[in-house]
Amino acid sequence: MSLLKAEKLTIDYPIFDSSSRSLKKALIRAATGGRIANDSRGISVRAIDGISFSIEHGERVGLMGNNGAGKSTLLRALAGVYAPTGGSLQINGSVASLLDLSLGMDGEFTGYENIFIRCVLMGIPRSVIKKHIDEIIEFSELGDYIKMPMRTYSSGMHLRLSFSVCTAFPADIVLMDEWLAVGDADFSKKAENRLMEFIKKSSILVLASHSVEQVNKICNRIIIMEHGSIIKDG
Amino acid sequence: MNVPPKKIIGEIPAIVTYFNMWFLLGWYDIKQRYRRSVIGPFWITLSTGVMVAAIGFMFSTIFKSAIEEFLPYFAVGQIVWLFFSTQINDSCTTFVQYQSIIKQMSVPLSVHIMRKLWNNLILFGHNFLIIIIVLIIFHKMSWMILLAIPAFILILILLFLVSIMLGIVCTRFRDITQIVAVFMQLIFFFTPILWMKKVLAGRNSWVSDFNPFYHIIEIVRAPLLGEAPAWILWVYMLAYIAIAAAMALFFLKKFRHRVSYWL
Repeated sequence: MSLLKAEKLTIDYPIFDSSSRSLKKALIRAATGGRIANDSRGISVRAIDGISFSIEHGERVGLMGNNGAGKSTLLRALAGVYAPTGGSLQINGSVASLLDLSLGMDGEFTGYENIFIRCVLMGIPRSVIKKHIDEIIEFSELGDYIKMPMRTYSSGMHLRLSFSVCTAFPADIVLMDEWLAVGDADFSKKAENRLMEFIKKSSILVLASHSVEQVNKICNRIIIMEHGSIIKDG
Repeated sequence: MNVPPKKIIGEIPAIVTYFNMWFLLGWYDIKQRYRRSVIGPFWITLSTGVMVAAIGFMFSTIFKSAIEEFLPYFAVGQIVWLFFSTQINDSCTTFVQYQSIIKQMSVPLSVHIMRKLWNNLILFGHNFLIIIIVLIIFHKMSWMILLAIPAFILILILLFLVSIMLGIVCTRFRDITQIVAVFMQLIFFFTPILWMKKVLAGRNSWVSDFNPFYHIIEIVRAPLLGEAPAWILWVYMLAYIAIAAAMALFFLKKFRHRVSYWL
């Protein structure tokens, strides 16, 4: 059963400037026992401040809050990028992160090759990619452009392709930063349907958004964050 | 789909489970670098070939050694060294280079290292053509070559472990990347690659006797040139691997989760 469970989850970012990243500073620090260099632990920013929650099967969570409230950091923690610096985080289930749709894609490669790059990054086996590739190309409506290097694409085409790839393989847990809106009127209707379908197949959705309207439409639970803490959950 | 991070050290089995990922991406890295070039990665073969031929001829004259002895010796040593040192240098910047992935999704660190290693292995493959040509020209082909295979596998294991360690350390302390580069440059001159071990003739022979880089190069160079490597070299290699494994595991255990914060 898919589950996201955080207990007193804390995430501190260390802030490095060029000097604290350097070896010299570290050596001096070691030599002076941290007395003279009073920045011995470095500066860090607390992005998530001891939050607890449990998200279970069937929940569609809208994550709201001002810029810098910790929404994106929380999404990345849920994606397994940032390990908790305090507390614990349990992630049961496969995670599809729609945080960066075109991750790993490269302009020099053709659309076709980029489908492989993106899929392989999502951990899809080659045989499964081959089985789905026609469907992905067809949905993207790129036609013969699929054989052209991606740098020749317009930004709309670029987005259509990466969207088609990322929503081709369902996962237990879907993470999204802002609702995805793709392309012109016609395509965006089609894309909306596909995205809804994709989410329906998932067990848990966490959507960070600024749009109250969007969150009300999609989600059945809203978590509001401020300064790294949860101020409202329900 | 992405698997959430494991609590135990899943970095080693990840090499197998993530095979698809590093294999394809590493291959595409090469493809990308040589896109729109007519002979592609064979530019590497060409440039190494020219260098080996030129230096081979010149230094066999300077050292007054027979070309059929010096050139194959230099060609094999240089090409293995090139692979080894490039991987060591690249390992320092691997995580920084692939940070867009590391900061977006959870992939075991060993997968990125394998991608880089595979990358350099492909380039080594292109350079290996020169070794084959040189061995044929100078009639050095023998069954002994087969012994180079296990030796090379040991080098790969060692490189993988050292790369993990350096990758982690250099992501935290960016200066170490530069230190490693200078160090590798220096080591090249202290290791019998451009010069033969016998020129030391007893004096200062410790420079090569106790030089791990000499052991690493020699264990594949000897069989490629038709001689069995001294048995002690195998012992040395296994010892280096044991030390590197201990260090790599230590760094992984302690800092594996910190790397994404350091980028």
